[in-house]
Amino acid sequence: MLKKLLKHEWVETWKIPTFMLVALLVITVLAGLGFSAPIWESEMTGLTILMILLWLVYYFALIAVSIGITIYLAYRFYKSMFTDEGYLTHTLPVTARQLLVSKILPMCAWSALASLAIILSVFIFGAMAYMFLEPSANVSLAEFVQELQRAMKEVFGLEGGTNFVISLIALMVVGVFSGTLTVTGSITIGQLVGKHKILGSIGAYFAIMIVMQTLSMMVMFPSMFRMTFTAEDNVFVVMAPMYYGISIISLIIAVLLYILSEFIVKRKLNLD
Amino acid sequence: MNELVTVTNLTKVYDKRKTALNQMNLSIPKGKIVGLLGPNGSGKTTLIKIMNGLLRPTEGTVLINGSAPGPETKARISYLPERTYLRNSMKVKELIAYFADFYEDFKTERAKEMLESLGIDENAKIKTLSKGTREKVQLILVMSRDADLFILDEPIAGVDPAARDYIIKTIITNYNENATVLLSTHLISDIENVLDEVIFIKDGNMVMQATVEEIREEKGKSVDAYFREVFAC
Repeated sequence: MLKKLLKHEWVETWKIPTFMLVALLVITVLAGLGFSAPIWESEMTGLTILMILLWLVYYFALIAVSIGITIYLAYRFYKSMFTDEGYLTHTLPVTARQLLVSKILPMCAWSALASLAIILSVFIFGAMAYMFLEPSANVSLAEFVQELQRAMKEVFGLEGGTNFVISLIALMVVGVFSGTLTVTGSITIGQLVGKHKILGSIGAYFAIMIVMQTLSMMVMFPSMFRMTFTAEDNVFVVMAPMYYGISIISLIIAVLLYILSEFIVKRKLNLD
Repeated sequence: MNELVTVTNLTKVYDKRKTALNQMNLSIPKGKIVGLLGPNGSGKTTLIKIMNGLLRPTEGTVLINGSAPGPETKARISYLPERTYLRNSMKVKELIAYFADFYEDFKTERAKEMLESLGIDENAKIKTLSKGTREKVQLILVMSRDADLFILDEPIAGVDPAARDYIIKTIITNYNENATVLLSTHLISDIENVLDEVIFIKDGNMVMQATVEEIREEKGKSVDAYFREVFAC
């Protein structure tokens, strides 16, 4: 049944996030093309204003994609679980766990895809800027990859570099799950509030964020102390434990939120 | 055991203030069309939602074929809620595929025949359909299953008389004789002739359960007339 749920969930939700990601890539390329005309050397004409506007649009598109996809999927989760559509969702012959997993996994996948698309977009934008602003450099793709490899070697070669990169990846992977579960958990906890369920969800979201921030600060404190009061100047050595600490806290909160969500859907569901 | 549904000491209190069901006890037999009758706010929908696992009781139990509401009971209950739960973005044919995917007892051919007889286009998106047509699509999906228990919450409220006749005809021609139909309504005269039994509920309590024949013979009245007498304001 989980496979079927996942299939239908994916079919139901893929269109709008895909459209957003494609739109971001198109805007990225258009904004990147703006570097082909050295507008700072020319007078302000209609074209230059258009280019500046395009960069602004690009900047907002980056923000809109990450927030937009989260808001859209949060809305879909709420609508399919706790509004009239919930009458169908919760009368399917499936368990609460199957339902939640089928909603949460695609949300995590989209969150990861959105993050990757944003990284790719910035990369393309930067590459196009370099290509148009430094045409004399005549950097080929092979040279660019070599340069990237050299930079990576430098990072990994430094003391604690490898550890730092692993901690960063762990933080990003955990972030995908904890970000999604904070959203779904808040919406689900909000259902326990009598008549003001949406308000309850917003309140739950801020409460979870405050707990997460407070605990993260506690983890960050030793690293900050070390950086300020000791001679340690290797940023990797200082940052890696901090990232691991935040990852562990986020993971624990995500797991607790999932357990609570499943309990609510299984034992406390009361559809209006 | 001839009972399909057993409700024991069922209580539901909303927001610690409003008691919708109060220590209700009743049982629903197999193979009957049972009317769940009561005025607005008597607790009909609350009882139905608990049976379908959409509400959790404050106290008491509901057993369907010996099991509490869960995936096993949901696989055997076909439920028509009082509201439309169809996703606006879906096409009618996608909904048919959706139901066929999740309910083993769903009969795709039966659904298509009913859609055709009503002239509803399978390729139409739900959002393009009128409210009445959406309700018909929902009824078709629910009645295209070979479930053990059909629970229909106010299926004829808010539709025109012609649609009402179609709905009643659909209900009596699309369930097998071993299945039970629990039909909640306050429009009794329209459905009285198809009912085997009735359950009267008032203020969250069951006030009477009897066969239609018993009411007619013992009270000398139609169910509708008797209902008006019991629930007179």
